[in-house]
Amino acid sequence: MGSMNGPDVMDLIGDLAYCATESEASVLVKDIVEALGAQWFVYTTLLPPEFSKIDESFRFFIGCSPELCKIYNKRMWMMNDPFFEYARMNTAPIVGSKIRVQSAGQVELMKVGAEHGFRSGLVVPTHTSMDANKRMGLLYVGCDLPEEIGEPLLLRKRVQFGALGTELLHWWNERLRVEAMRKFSLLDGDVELLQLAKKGKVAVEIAALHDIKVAAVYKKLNSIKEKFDVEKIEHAVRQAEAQGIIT
Amino acid sequence: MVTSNTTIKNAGYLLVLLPQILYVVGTFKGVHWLPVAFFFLLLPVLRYLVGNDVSAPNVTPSPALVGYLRFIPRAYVAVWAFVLPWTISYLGFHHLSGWEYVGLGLSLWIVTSLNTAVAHEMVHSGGRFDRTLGMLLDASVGYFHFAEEHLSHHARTGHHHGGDSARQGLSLYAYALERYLRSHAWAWEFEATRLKRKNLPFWSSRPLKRALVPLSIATAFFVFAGWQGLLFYGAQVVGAAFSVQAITYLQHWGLSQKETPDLADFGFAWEDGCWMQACVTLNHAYHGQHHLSLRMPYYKLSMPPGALTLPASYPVMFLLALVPPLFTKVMKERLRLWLDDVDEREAMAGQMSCIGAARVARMIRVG
Repeated sequence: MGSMNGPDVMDLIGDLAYCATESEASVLVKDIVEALGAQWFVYTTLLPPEFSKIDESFRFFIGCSPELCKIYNKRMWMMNDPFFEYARMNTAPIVGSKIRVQSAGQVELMKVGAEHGFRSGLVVPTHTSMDANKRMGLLYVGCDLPEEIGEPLLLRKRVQFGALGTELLHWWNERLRVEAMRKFSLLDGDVELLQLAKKGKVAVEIAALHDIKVAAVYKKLNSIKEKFDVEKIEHAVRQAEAQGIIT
Repeated sequence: MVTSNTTIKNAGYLLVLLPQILYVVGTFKGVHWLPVAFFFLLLPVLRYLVGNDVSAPNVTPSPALVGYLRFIPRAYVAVWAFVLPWTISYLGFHHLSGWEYVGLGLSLWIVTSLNTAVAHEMVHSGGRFDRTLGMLLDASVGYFHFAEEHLSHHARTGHHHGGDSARQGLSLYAYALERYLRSHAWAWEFEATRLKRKNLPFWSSRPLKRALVPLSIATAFFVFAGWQGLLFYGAQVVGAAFSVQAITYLQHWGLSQKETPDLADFGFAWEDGCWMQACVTLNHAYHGQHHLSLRMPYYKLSMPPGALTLPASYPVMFLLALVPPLFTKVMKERLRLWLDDVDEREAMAGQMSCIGAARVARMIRVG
């Protein structure tokens, strides 16, 4: 893997879309990260706090020392992570040493990270469209080289790491959308109806669009309400939006 | 070790032909119950002797090996094309006692049930020829709407509402009836939508055309073997339909995104690693893997590490499912163990204590 050139790595990044499970995807990400010259990675994706409790929307891949993750979770650094703060406001990849740390806790986090292999790091933020679910992704790759050597090497591959971050965000968005569809037992046809309902189409219009009877539309809408356990289709639409099922 | 050798496993896939061979040989020799005995007695005991399948899947098989492995289901259909008319002529020219009829009927039911598993593999094939053969194989046992209903099965995997995952506590009998009726509703609805979209008349319906296959076979049974022959075939149609529902029941019992989200990466399915069974059914029991990769051929499937496995192989679990309260207790306990103890999952997947009787008994006690 280490001898791979650019296009091959981009092919591998493209292969992420075909990973059916988290473990499959995680193994592939590790291969890609190593092929690009980094040793470790952590990928996290979450919704901004104003949209969801962090721990509910939080998903991750870990390709670094489990010890570091344990410390990170134990000390709840997630609430005070300077990389998240950067990622919320920016889209450009940035080397770890350029991240402004503002508290003693953040200084400690950086120090412990360096002790566990992240002496050099690159932060790659990615974002979903503002009109979609606003999910954010943060890829942090690192290596054990001193920052004056390691960071320029990582920064040189920022385009590839950016592509990886983007693909990871797509992968998780799709996975969470499918999970949410399964949770509410929705089929593609149900999602289509929810989209139409969101656009304000009423049963008669939907029936005309689909060339089916109005009674059949009501039957389908009632089934959707039952699946969401709500009284009105508007409530189902709202839940579907919140879950990223419709945009 | 036999069960870890991929070459032996590849040769072992020829065992898929065994039930048909046993059926013919048993009938010739007057041992009408032979395939039944093989499936419900010998297969579970052989698990004890042979063990679980730990062979590596054929990740990148050579073209010659692919040719051989793809030939096996086709060979199965070819043998069936001989066995079916032979059965009709046998019934037409032999006088059987009541018990012999029952024995022969149950033996053929083992074969027709296996037909549906082989047909399933072929219907998923990338080649049109194999897909057509698979659909005809299913149609020959009266399950002519399989291709259409199966689309719905995959679309609804992991669904709590209207999916194929049996609610915990629902008996096999209720599930089988409910799902069989639902499968027809799905299939015909799908086909009606397709015909409407393509602006085709109703007689272009594919399941309708395939329905002519069992009708023709039923006519042949009636012509050559009279009412008894027709009844015999009718029982096979009912039996095969029941088997499809029963296997689906075992494979997805109690698993959905709402109830067991941890099973998402395991395709919301119960796996089973018995080597013999894997060979005889063309890896049909690696069902979660199949759900994760629909186009993956049978010879590339394997037991995923840490998967949720049935407490015993299909024949034992099938018999257990006939006693719903016991089945529910056993399955609930097995699922609870898997969900509660992540570290134990690997060990659970590797268990191969024979028929699973000890595990089943323990779970009945605990549950």
